[in-house]
Amino acid sequence: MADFGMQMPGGKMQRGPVPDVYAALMALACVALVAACVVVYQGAARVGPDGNAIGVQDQNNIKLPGR
Amino acid sequence: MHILTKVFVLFAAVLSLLLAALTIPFAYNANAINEAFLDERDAKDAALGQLQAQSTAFDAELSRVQGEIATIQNDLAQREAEINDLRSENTRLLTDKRNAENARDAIAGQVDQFGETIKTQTELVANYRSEITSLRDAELRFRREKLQLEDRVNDLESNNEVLTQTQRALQEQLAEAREAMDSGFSSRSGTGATSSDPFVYSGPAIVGRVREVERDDATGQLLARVDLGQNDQIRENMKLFITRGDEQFLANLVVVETDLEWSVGRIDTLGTDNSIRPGDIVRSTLQ
Repeated sequence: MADFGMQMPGGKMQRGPVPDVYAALMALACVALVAACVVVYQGAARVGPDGNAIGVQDQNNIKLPGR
Repeated sequence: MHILTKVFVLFAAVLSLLLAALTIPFAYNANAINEAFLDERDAKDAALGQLQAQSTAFDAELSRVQGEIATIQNDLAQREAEINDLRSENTRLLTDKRNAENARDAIAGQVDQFGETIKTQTELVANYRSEITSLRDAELRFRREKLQLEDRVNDLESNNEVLTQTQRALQEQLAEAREAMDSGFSSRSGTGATSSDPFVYSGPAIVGRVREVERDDATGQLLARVDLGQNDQIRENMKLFITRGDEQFLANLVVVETDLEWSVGRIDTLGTDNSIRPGDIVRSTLQ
C-alpha cells in the first residue's frame, strides 16, 4: 500500500519521490522509439544513396547499395 | 515528477527527432525509387514489346535463312553426288585408259613380233627361192640327162629287139628244119607256123589284154580278141595263156587269126567253168 502513496498507521516516513506509472510509460516509449529508430535506419540505409541513411536520391540517378 | 521520468522524456524527445530525421529521407528515397521503378518497368515493357517484334522478325528471317540453308544444303548434296559420280566416272575412264594403253602396248609388241616374223619369213622365202631355183636347175639337168639315157636305152632296146627277132627267126628256122627232117616234109621259108598243133612261144614274154569275148555262131567255139598282133610277134596257132591278175590261170588261147595290132584266138578252158572277161591278161608264158 506504501507503493501507492498511502500512509498507513505505524509505517515509515516517506523520504522522496519514487518512479510512477508515467515513468514506466516513458521508459516503454523510449524502448519503442529506439526500436523504431533501428528499423527505420536499416530501411533508410537500404534505399539511401550508397547506403547513406539520411542521404537523398537523385531522381534521374538512383544509386542503391549492393546486396 | 520523478527524475527518471524526466530522463525518459528527454530520451523520447531525442529519439523522436532522430526518428523523424531518418523517416523523411527514407520516405523521399522510397518515393523516388518507386517512381524510378515504375519508369523502368514501363521501359522494360516497351523493350519487351520491341524485343517481341524483333524476335518475330528474327524468327521470320531465321525461317527464311534456314530455308535458304536447306536449299543450299540440297544443292551441296547434289553437287557432292555429282562430284562422286564424276569421280567414279573419272576412275572408270582412267581404268579404261589404262586398259587401252595396255592393249596398245600389247598390239605394238605383236606388231613388232609380226615384223620380226615377216622378216624371218622373207629370209626363209628368199632361201627357199634360191633353193628351189637350184633344185629346178638340178631337176632340169636331171631330166635332160634322163632323156639322154632314155634315148640311149631305146636305142639299145631297138638293137636288142632286132637281135632277138633275128635269134627267134633263126630258132624257128632251126625248129622247122628239124620238123621237116623228122616228118619228111621239106622246110618252108617264113615265120608263121601252119602245123595243126599249137606251139608255145619261147621268146621273151609277151603280155596283153583281152578286149572282146564272143561265141562263134558257126562252130559254137568261144573266141577272144586281144590287143596283141603281128607287131608283137604273135603268129597263128600260137598258144597263149589267159590269167586274171598275176596268179589265177583261166584258160588257154590258141591264135586263129592275126593282124598287125590285134589277134583272135580260140578259148580252151580245159573243162573248167572259168568265164573270160574283157580286161583279163594274156601271156605268152606263165613264168
